Amino acid sequence: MDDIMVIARSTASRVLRMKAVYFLLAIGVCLIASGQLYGDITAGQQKAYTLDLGFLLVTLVGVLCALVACFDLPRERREKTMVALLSRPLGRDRYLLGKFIGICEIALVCMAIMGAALVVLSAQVASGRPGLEIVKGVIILFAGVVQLAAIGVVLGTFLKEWLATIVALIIFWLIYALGALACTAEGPARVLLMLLPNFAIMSAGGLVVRGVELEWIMVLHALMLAVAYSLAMLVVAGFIFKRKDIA
Amino acid sequence: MANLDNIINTAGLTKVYHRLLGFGSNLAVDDLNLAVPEGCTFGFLGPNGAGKTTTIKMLLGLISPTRGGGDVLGRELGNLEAKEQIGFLPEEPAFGGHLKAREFLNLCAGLSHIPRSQRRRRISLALDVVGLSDRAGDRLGEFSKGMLQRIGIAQAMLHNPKLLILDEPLTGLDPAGRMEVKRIMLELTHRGKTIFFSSHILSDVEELCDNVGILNRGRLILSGPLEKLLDAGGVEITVEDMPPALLEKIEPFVTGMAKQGRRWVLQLNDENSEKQVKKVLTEGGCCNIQDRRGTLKLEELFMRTIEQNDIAVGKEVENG
Repeated sequence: MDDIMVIARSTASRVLRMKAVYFLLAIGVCLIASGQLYGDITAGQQKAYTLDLGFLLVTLVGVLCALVACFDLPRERREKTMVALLSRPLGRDRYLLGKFIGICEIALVCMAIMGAALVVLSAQVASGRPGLEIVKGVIILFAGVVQLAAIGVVLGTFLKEWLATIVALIIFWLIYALGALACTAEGPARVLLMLLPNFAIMSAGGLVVRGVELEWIMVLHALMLAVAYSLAMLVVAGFIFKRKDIA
Repeated sequence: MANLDNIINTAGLTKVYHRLLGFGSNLAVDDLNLAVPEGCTFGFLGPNGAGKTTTIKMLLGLISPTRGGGDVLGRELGNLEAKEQIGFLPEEPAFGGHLKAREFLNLCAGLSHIPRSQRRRRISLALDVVGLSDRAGDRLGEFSKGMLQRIGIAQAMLHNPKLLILDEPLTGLDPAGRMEVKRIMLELTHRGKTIFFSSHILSDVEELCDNVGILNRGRLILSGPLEKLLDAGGVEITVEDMPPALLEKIEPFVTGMAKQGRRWVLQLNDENSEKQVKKVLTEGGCCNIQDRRGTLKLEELFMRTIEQNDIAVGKEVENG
């Protein structure tokens, strides 16, 4: 387990050393904080606008973090860092798992910071206790991001940085759109749609905006789905990566 | 396949790279049978593109062979338990410039399963051996090529491996850097480590190695103890006033000849040729025949072996 966490920490620390991450987080927090100024221009919908923008930004930050998987693996292969790492007694599947955990850690930290900013702001602009609903919403969003990161790991094992990122975004968008069909489709199409990752859960923020109370069971369900789907994706990634020459 | 006296064995190891969509292929390593005895310093030589790095990556399990196989430390290629006992320095050390030297070695220690309680001591020791103790807190991105090579050796020896595989450890270094790396390699040899390293710098190989293997066009064309290979430098015969009519008779047996005033210097490969030539010269009435056993320099051996192999491959191609 130690070697997996070494890779995870090294992945996370490398991302955390990128100035762009702090810039992105600062912009995001500022944009969320600017929600305080919406009062006069939202025709009494300040809370909804603030939450909507906040969840959009949290999602954006989470998706960007997940996409790190798409370019981190090909970059390590191109720069030959992978040669140095995999020449050690480190299984390739453990290396992939470490990468995945590191990326999820980064996504969790970034989304937590943005989520916290949103909770603080919503406490000022809204009555009641929207904080807990925001936390639940962010956890569900995180479950979606985890699935996207797993897809990124699969693509990163055999595609170049830019191609893996574009394909991951296309897959994300397509599955997000198809997710809505899962309820109406029947027969094999329904089974196929059920097998795809459930990015529809990333609309959870919209429910919070509309004042719907999110059940904890829904949060748990989203997390379990993310874990199951990610494990399946990592098995696929491991299968591909084991056959790949690290030249 | 495992010969327990050898730390590395390969049998018929072959790698073919197929181009995209099956348009052609490139035979990088061809039917390689390599045996590296334990405790030796083995120089793996060959021109650029001979297949040295591909072979090393196959030994480490980074590249899977197309055919054949082998064992390292008695286990199949790429085996994780064997890797616990292997230290590797890549050709182009890429270790992440954002890390400090100590942080990087700590990461390597974690990946090599060194217990936490021993890490600090092992890292300090490794930094000491490569002479970088005073730069432990500097980022690798600020290191020169020579320093990166030294930190590369430090990470390779960190877990006290039995076998060190160094890919071009002396390339791209200035004379001082080369001296330093050679010093470290000699120190490791004295500690009883087996060192397998590839290099282009033949004078350094001659200085450091007791065994060599020469690879050309993916094939191992010569391998064995260096001293023995260099001793096989053939025989040089000098003879005075040789009648020109004898030239034709001795030509099939000599590999080279030169006239220096009244004296002819003849080069021969083996004892059989020596006997034949001496017989022809004696029967032809030559006097003052002298012979001298030759010892080759590694560079001569390398060039001669590569040239002969190139000619042989050329003939093979001509004959279809």
